[in-house]
Amino acid sequence: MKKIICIFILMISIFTSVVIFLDYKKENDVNLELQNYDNVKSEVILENCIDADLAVDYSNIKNLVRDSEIIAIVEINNEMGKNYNSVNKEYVPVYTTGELTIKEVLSNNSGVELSENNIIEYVRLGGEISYSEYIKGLTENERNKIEQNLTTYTTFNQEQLYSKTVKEFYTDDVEIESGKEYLVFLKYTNDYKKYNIVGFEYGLREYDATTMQVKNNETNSFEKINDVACSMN
Amino acid sequence: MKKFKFLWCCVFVCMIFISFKKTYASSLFIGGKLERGVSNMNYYVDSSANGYTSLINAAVNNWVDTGYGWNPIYMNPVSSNYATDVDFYARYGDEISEGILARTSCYNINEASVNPSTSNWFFAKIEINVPTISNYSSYVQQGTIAHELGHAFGLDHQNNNVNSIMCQVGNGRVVQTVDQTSHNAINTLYNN
Repeated sequence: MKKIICIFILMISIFTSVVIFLDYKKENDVNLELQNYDNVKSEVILENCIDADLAVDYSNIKNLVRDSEIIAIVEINNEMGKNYNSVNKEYVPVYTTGELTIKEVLSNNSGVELSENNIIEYVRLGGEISYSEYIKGLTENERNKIEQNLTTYTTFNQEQLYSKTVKEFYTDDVEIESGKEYLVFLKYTNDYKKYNIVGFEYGLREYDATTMQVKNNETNSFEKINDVACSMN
Repeated sequence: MKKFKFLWCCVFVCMIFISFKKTYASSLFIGGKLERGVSNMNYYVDSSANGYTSLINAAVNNWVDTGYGWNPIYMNPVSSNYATDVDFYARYGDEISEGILARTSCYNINEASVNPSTSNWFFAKIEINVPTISNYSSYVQQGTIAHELGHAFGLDHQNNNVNSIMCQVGNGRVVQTVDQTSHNAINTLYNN
């Protein structure tokens, strides 16, 4: 009996050790990946990591459905960061805009007819813009503060800074990428005369056309599009 | 043989403890924190946020004195944003910012790109989104400012705990003052 208890404890210990080792290895792999990513993005001079207090829980798909007019599979044609809204002629928080092609409309209560291969313009909070554009959107004392910090903590001069990039993104959100297909939740915005992709990482989910699955950005696993569609109702 | 069994039991219990501690600790924090610490911070309220000064001061005082014993936080109001640790602004956001009560930007400034989940930041900017926050009571508004201060210090969302100040309003936060877990998290983050 004692032998069995001993073997049992030994097996549990080995199992725990393996789990901890694999967890440690995974963490190191992720760090290495991030390090490589940082090296590639070396032109980014300023990163603003944003956390927000949201009034809506977009992890609940029913809230996403309620707050969007169009649910569709789309392909992103291009993307570009901006901080100026030419409709209202005002500087705004950094956003990404571009064109997308509709692949399949899953739901549409916008009143505008949309079908396959239609191209529409989109906007989305967060993005990358040039430093020179970024500072135009700041008040004078904000600009002074940024420049004071940059000159204190970096060796770049003004001219060098202007060729750099500022990246503004929301914690846990995903970056939109040209050429990729996504399941998106869209709402038309009069402020931009474009479609807003609502819901941060919940409203922009990578789509794999070959397996007909969409990515769950919380778990990084893929789910069947039919299962996601069912949960919308 | 008894010694051998005892040793293995100890190893097993330690491993379980380490594994739980790691999971618990990693879920409370963003990853980085304020570079200069929280024990002697200066904060600036921009003229755009003058209407929120009393709520900002109340939220700051709540973090300084949480009612759960000592923590290292001390914040001093100043009239200029020069070299401050936390700055407050009020914005009149447009449609794509709908649903955001307030947001906190943590500024990493470096010659090379840095990852915010592993790097510290030099200062934080809290922006109150007036069109959305105006729909809530002043008590919730104060809670939102306290929530954003938690981010500025390095705390992550606790959306599974409605009794945490770090839970978002949209996820059903029921408290608008600093809770003991968040208070303890600050002690853990800045006392090591």
